Amino acid sequence: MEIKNTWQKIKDNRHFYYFLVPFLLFFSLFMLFPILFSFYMSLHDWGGLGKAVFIGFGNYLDILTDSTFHTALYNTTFMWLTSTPLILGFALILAVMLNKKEVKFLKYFRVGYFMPFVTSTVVVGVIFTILLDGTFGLVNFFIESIGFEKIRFLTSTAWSKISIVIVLTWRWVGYNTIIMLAGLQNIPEDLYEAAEIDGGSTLQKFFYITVPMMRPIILFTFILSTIGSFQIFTEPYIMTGGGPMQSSLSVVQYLYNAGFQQFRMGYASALSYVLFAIIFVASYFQIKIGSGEEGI
Amino acid sequence: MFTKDKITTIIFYILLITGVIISLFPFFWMISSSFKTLAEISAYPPSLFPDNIMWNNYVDVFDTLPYGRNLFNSFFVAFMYTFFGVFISATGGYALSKYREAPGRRLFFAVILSTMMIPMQVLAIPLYILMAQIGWINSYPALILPFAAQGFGLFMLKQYIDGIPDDLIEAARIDGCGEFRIFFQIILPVIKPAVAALGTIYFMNNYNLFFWPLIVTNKTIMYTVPVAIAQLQGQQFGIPLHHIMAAATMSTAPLIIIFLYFQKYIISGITMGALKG
Repeated sequence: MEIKNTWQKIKDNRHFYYFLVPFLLFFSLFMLFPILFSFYMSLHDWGGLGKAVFIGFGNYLDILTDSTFHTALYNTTFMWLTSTPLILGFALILAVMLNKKEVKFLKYFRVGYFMPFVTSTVVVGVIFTILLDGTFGLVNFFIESIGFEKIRFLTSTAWSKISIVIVLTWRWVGYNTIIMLAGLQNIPEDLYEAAEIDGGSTLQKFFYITVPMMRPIILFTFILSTIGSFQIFTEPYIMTGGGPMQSSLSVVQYLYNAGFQQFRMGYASALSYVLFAIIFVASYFQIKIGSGEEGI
Repeated sequence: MFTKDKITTIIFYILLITGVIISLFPFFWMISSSFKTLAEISAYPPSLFPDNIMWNNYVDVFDTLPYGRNLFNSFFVAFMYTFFGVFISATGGYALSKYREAPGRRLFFAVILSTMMIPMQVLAIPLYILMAQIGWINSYPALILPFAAQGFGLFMLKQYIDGIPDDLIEAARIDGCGEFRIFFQIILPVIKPAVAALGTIYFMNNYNLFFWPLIVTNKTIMYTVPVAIAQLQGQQFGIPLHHIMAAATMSTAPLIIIFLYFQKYIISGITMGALKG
């Protein structure tokens, strides 16, 4: 009886399946299958050609002691932890200024700030390669003209990561400004009016109204930045090639090298899973910490 | 005299305009460099404007690269990806939103949502092997199809369709309208703003995509623009910076025009996720 009932329900709702099938087909083939297959591969030693040899968690154990991976992880974490506060800080300040009633031309400012995000990362990479060049770059021209020595932005181990951070910041401030501006516009006006009646200063209003009200949005942008940071690939690939001496090698570029230069497919699959685990844990903690006392 | 508030406004303007200049200056530098000779680009001190306008750079790119084909690839792939990806997200989102009695609905939705955070890089290796097995390396399907079914897109359109009253659909059913006609003639027109928002985001993302086309193509004629430019940049000797800058300008200009035209939709698409999330 129960089975018959379910069957009847399926029949009555058959259009549900008709409508969902196209999405589901591609989703299963190109999302679910790779996720599972990737895990299977990560348990094997496989060069792409020939037979895969089952080695259990051997690849994962190798990752633990792989010093190049540690370097890549350190570099990526460094880029994440330096660029994110810069990006979100600048974005919040710009959004607050744009949200002031007396500031006009919002539409034009928004377009201007958004432009870096619209452009492809490869194009951004090639532009900054010449802007930051160690001998003829315009940035070095300014640095020299205010009396400092030229900086080898892209070819010194001390500066290569910082150069990537500069580019990331330039590219992502506008995008986050737009999100934060939308958040600010959602804060009820009467909160500020009440604070004004009580004699609150601009700074007090910022720290006691704006920041707490913006917390969900800041958390959202923080999580996006974290996920994005651990996917960094194009900027170092174009600008520094991960060098010099692996000083700007990112986790994804290491994964790319392992998979598509050395064809260690099993090892690269294990790296993919580690990368996913890192992103997952980082976002999970941010949600936990960010939602705090209310415990969403 | 100026009031304190007026001074604040003026300071804000100065800072905001400085920000816009920093934001836009690299584009100016790209365009200016695209008209310089190779020697002038790498001259020190750098010149703000080119000495002679080198229109030739724009012609010569087409000799250095099959750049016409690369541009075509980028546009064709991005367009097909957008059309296809948005369409299956719309039908899927509609199914999950409006057939609430269907067995398995919750499970499907939960599985799709749980993959939303998985970055493309995690899938690249197994997908590459899959593409190689079915002989799709250097093919358009490989550039278009793998990332068409995005949890993010389905979720966004489902959210929007949730807002359409069921009565509208019931009324159409009573009038004898078929299920597919309801979707095409009632639902699709209503969700147009969300479709436009998602479509613009999909187009931009795909047009700018680098990681996947880099992996799945190795013939110059199948390269999309970002891969073609990266290949020039990656040369060991005599990197043709003037050609790179011309190619970069040509690939960026159409996207900026599309952005200016659709910016309302892009901004609504991006903020939608934040405010609801």
